Amino acid sequence: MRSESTRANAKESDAPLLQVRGLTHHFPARGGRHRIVHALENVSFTLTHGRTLGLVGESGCGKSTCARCIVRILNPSAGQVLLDGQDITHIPQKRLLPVRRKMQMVFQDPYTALNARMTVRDIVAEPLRAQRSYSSGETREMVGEMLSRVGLTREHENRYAHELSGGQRQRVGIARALILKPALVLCDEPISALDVSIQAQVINLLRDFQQELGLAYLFIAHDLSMVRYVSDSVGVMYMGELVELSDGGDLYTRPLHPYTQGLLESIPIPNPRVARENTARGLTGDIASPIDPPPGCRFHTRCPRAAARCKSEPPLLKEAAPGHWTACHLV
Amino acid sequence: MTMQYKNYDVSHNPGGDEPLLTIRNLRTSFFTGAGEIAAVRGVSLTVRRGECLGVVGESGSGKSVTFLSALRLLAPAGRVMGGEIRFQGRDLLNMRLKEMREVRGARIAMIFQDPLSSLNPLIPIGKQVDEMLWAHEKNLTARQRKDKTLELLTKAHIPEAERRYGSYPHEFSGGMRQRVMIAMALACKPDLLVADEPTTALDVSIQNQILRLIKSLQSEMGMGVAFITHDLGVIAQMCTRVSVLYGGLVMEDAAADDLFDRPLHPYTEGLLTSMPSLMQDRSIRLSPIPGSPPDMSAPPSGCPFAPRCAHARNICVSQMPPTYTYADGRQSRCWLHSHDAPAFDNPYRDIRGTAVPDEEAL
Repeated sequence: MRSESTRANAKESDAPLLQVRGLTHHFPARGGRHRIVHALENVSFTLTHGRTLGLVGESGCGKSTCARCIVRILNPSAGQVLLDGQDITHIPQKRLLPVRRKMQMVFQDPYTALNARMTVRDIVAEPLRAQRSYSSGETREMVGEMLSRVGLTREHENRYAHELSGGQRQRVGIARALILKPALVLCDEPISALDVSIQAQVINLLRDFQQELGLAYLFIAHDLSMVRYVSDSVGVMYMGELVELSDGGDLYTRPLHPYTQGLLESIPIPNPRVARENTARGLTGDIASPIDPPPGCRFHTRCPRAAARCKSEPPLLKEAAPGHWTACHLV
Repeated sequence: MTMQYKNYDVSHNPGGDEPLLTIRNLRTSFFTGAGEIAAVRGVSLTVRRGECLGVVGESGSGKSVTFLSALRLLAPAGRVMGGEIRFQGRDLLNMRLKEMREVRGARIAMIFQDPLSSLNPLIPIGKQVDEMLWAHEKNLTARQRKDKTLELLTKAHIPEAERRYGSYPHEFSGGMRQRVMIAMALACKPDLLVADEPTTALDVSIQNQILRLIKSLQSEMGMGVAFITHDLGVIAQMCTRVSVLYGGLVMEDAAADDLFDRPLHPYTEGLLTSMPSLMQDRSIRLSPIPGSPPDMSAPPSGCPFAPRCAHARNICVSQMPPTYTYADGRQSRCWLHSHDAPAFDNPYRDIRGTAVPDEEAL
């Protein structure tokens, strides 16, 4: 819990696996006229081997864009991504194959992330085939072993995605991501499409793999309780920026940024007696447009405590308490 | 939560305690190429005036189909096979279609999970709210309708209603669209609001705003609400009473406080323990419900939850449990409440045998 895993600046980190420095992604808005969507703005963090960093925020806050820039599904506009010390930001697509061996992704929607025309066996074997270094016998053996590890049987191997339940599909997605035994897995909302009773099954599975293989996870979700449960450190994003980052549970017990505070207040309390007494208001208003983000602090349009300075001067991420960074003028 | 009852005065409601909506032993099936799918297999529930009933269940549990049956809005493949649905004493299932149309929208209003598919993309939102009034309140003039529409939009917390009147659904965010749906739903001051997962597609921050809005409008207008959701946190925040559905059956029915204090069905307990709380100890593994929900094209003959239940015995697999009713009105459909259920590995051993089983199941 009080791990030293994540650091906003990487100066003193211990064997960083993933270093993200000033990652930025802008793309032209539909309808053109030189309007730019500021999807991701100057995001930096570090993740060490075997640890989990959770990223939370509202839809459109850039958390998925961040993961997609890291695995190079998207090409970042600026900034650097270092994996095991190697700068992978500008490696041409052709030479990404050895990088992908170390880094895989689990997607939100297991209905669309699996090819409907491939059997489960082929889906899980595809990363091995792409690497071109396994015989067909090895491939078959590894796929069988992997499927049983994620709780599926031999008989599932010949099935197609539509023949599986949502939970089983996500297990296939996890098997595909883990078959190369990567060091880092980026999980983009891996449980939000699943039923409540199935979510915990998938989370336990991910945790077991982490302990066994020493995996690191970048875990993206909007369920703040689940993120707290799985993560060693948690980052909060708002409109493309990282506004708070904390090692350990500090973020939940002592949130510093007004946005984090509002987000936490918005979570329904699963106890009617406590919920009745709760007078916290949560967040008001809607997220602003990422095309013309507000000047200064991007959150000032919804912030109950915004001062004059917040409207003009963008706050920088600074260490407000040991292992706890926030970007707010008021802290 | 007595606040919600403050507008409720027995003298204005002859019939006193008669529930707003009563569903008795409803059975609904869908007939597809793959045969009959028994989506609802004997659901009984009630929504009383001024209360918010939470209807919890996973996908396929029959929670939406139950209310679509009540409103006679089933897809063509769906058919009500049996049971009774009464709303304010009137039989909804045998009502003439013309009367049904007057009930829908005016007396019973609905909001759904995805407001974008419920709104017409080609018509300005103000016009769509206006249309509700045009359809159900024929005596209003165009001017009065417009004024009332603006009032409703403001009530649903849409800022600058006047300016937004002419905007189209695509110009709104998800939360704002849901507010438009709420304005439409409330246009005719309904007695019952059916809210089917209205916040599932929204972020927690916006969900919180919408839940607060529904709750304040509910106590202001004194309507009954049936809140369908899979999220127990939302139930805790919104509801006074809860029906838990699984496999097309009501597994448990209780006051919300009691349900969260002590669930009386292993499925409810499984739901409560499988989600981490904000204070969950990270070193403790989550205890998920093993397995997956039943295939409703071939539902198990016994308790639908038996294959996933840690306490299941032989009888659970072979025979459908009756619904046991306790003196305080709590209900649970589980053999473990039976007077001859063993004490060993029985979470209800202290109270077993004190509840009355219903007869039709026996």
